[in-house]
Amino acid sequence: MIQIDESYVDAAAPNDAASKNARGLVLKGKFTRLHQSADGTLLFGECQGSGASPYRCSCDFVRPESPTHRCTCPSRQFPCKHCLALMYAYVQGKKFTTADVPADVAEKREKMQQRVEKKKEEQTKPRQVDKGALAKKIKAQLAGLDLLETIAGDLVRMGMGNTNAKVARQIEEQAKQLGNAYLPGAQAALNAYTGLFLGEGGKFDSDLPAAAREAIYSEALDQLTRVHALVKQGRAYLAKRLEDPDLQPETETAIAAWLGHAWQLRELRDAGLVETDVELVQLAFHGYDDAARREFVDTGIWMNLNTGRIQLTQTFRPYQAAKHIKSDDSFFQVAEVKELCVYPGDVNPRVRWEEMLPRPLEKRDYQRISQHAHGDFAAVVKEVKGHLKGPLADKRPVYALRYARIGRVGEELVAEDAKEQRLMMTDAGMAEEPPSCRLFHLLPQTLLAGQTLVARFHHDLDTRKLRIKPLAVVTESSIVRLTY
Amino acid sequence: MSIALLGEVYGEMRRLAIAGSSLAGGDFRLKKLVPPLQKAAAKAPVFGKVADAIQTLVDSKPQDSAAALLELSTLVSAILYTQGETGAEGRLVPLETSDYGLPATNASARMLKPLVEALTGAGSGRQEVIADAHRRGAFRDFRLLAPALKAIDDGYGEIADFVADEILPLYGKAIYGDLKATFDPKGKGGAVRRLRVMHRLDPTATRELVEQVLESGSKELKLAALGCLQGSREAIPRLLEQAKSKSSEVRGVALRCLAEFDDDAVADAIMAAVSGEDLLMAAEPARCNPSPRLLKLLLEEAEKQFTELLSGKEKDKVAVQTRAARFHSLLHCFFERRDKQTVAFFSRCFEHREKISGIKGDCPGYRINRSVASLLVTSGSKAAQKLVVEAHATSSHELLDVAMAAAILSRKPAEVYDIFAPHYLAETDGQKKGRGPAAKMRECLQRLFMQWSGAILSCDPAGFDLGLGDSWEKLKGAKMDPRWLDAAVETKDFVVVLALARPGHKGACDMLAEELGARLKKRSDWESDSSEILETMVRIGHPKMVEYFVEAIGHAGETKTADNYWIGPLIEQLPVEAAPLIEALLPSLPENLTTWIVPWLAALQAKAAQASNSPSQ
Repeated sequence: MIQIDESYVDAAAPNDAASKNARGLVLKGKFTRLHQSADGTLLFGECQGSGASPYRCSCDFVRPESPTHRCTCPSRQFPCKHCLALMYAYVQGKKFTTADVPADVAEKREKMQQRVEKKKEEQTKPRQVDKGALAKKIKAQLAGLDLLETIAGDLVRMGMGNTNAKVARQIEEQAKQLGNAYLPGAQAALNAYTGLFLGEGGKFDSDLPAAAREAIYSEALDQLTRVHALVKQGRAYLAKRLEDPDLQPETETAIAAWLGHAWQLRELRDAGLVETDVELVQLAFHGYDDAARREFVDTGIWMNLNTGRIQLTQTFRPYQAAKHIKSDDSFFQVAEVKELCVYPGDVNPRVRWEEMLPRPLEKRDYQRISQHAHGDFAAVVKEVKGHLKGPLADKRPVYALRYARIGRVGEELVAEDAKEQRLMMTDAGMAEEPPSCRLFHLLPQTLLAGQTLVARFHHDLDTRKLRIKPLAVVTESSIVRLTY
Repeated sequence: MSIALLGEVYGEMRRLAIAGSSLAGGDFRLKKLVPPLQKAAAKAPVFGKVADAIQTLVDSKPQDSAAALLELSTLVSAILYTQGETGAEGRLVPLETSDYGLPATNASARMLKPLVEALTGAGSGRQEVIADAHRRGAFRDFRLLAPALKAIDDGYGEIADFVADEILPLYGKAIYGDLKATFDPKGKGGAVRRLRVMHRLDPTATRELVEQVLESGSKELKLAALGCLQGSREAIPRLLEQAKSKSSEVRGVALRCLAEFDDDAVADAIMAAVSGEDLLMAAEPARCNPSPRLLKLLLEEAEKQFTELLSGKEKDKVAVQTRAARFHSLLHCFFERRDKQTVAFFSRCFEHREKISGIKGDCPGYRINRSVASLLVTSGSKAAQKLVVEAHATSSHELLDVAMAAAILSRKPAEVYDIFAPHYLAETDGQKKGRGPAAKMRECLQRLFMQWSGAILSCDPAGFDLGLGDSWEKLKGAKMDPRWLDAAVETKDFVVVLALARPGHKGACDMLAEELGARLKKRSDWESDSSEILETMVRIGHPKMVEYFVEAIGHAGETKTADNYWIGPLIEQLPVEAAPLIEALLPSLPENLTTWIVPWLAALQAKAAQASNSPSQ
């Protein structure tokens, strides 16, 4: 018996419009046939489309942790509205008659099984690397780093004060060459610098007023310093790889990703960057427009209940392909993952999985979150500072903090631990997520003592203060999200 | 560690990064920092590295300066990142929170995003998204607070007003600071709404702001500020002052705010407005004001004006018209007053109705007579209502519906029928259609029935507003003698049948079916009356309402009518058995009609599902 409900189908939809259209198909009675296989694992049917022949769609739950949706419609959305409608029809109790699995679906199932087995087999085989192509690529990257160094050097020599909208536009054009040199991370770093000089409306058509410029210079210098570090470390790393083409991508740091390496799950497995039988709870989620990367980024902030680490899921949707890539969404259950692949990184590494089973949150899960949270602010601060000093480190790490109380010192919102160590809260400098500090005035008093705060750290370069931005409050029975 | 020294290094480094690293060679301000850094290196070797990096920079040639500056930046930044200050000195005081309850934050980002876009974006369709979300209780999710605050300045005023009046107050005093922080005393739309919300959340805290705005705010804000003074006796002097403002809008609001006070100065101010050019504006405040002094003044003025009208001395027709119009406007000040003096005066006026009816022009005498009659009806005085009822036989048709209204309010249904049925049933054949007195009488009564039922038809004769105010509610709740419907069926008066149809009346049901059938034969202009007929069928539980409704939907599909908005809301009122019949129809309907119907049908199906799951089943 397939265990799905309406919220499962809602979550499977790539976007809200697909969900609405799918529901409409069911109500309009567009399905001419609705069937279920004898073993109950396959739903299939025919749905009237705009053409003469109906579309044949199916939802295959033979592997429930990784269902397969198939449809003859030309839509590139996945799952398409017909498959979603099929699932809605099922959960809404429409009549599905038992029928044999269609021959084409049976064949596809078999092929899928073969692929799965082949994949497993291939994972045990050593990977073949085209050394010639790799060397060519590395040389292109090294040339790209030289270009990056030249651009950054010119900017520093000329002075940030002379970076205006025109110059920023010119740099963005040059930065495109970095993308051609297999250095998307470098391109993004440069765009992150030029993006600071955008005028009102996010366009390059006007120059920033003096006060606004003064406010960005520290951040801009930090970005250029980061670019400089990328050049240095990247050059050293690539030189090593050029010397030894058999050398595997670096896994101790994130330098490989900075230099544009797109980690495959198999590589992560081969590198031993895998955790098994993991339970994850999502503590916060937000989607934002990363103009520097020219992508929409959906980020889930999860706690690994086994280790207590905060890990991130990230879905990148390039502007030009955004419509065709399913956006990620908030998740309100526990994700049981048999095999969790962990990207190289430091405090909050990115993670990915291929298969997952959801289960409802229980009291023990909230207890585990609380137990894993850091109750000693001084120790956390020390750890954060040690992490931040790396020029290529994530400058906004996330931690779970167990606080004794939250209150006010003057006009500042402050969290205090059991030893009366304090951390000030702020929204400044962290614009990816919507403002959250003001929401504390709307929380019940009971939540302002003895709970867990999920927070993002940020070091303000001008004031030299290390502060936190609240993302969620976890109690013994709920997660109160402060961002989206 | 000497952080201050490092801070200085950072400052100089930043300066050169802004000005250009090519200026770094020999920079004396940087050079000055080298010796103290070298000294500090004795305790912390990293300072020595910083000193070396500075030396490299100041010694560099312009072409090497960028790399040297960035090396220095890397080193200094790395150190400063480890020295970030945390903590806060001072007493930790509890946070003031509003009694909002535990927020519901289990809406997914995908559900929130369209709503956030509706609140912060532009374009059509947003209002419905926001209103629907409000109905569903979505704003319990306090993550929507920031977008909702932004929407108070929305370019589409209706959205901004809705957010200000219905949504923001949900969050309580916790948002007061946010509103105040963004309040512009010279502003207009957004500022006005902010003031309104702040006053609603905390009138005491907002008072100072109100005073400030009254002194020097924009006109729009002054009007809103005056509204905030409503109900405050201490504000009477302020309001009296504003009642003399040069701006008529400000005077109007001030008078409205003063209306509730029984105060001599207030009475004088209102009377001054009534006697002058602000009569129309002051009429409503005058009507509501409880002051006996004002009443006396008003009656004196009314007496004076009526006597002048009645005297006939004025020969200039324009002057007569002006007086008539002024007197008619003055009547508004007495609407729904129940005191003996008012009733006595207008009873006297009513007795002179024949003379008054001789006044012609833009404000004809019959209109004055109607208003006087309405005043008497709404006074609640039995004697006054009797006077109006008994006038039915001698008055023109313009007063007939008012007379019947008086009868409905004061007599039994059977009596009302006995008195007025002869007018309704009077022979109209042989008269010029719709023009003879009998026809006009009948038309007048038809209007009353239609207004009583709330029906609006395309054949609706142009109606007079009965002007009965709150008495309308009492009138609408009154029972009608069952013989009226029989009379309407007998005389084939579809308009009145529609108004009076009741469950189980075969004649009415047959007539509704017949009328609907005739309209469904038309290919165009059939929708608006059909919607009224179907609404009536649903209201009375017509035995074939589902069948006719399904037929109407089919007809809407065939004729591809654009005017089909009425179908959706009616679906919700149908019995649940209609759901499968309508669902079966969907595949044959045009896409736009199906798309409109589907959500309403889903609601009906949900009702059906709920009914089948209920314990009583």
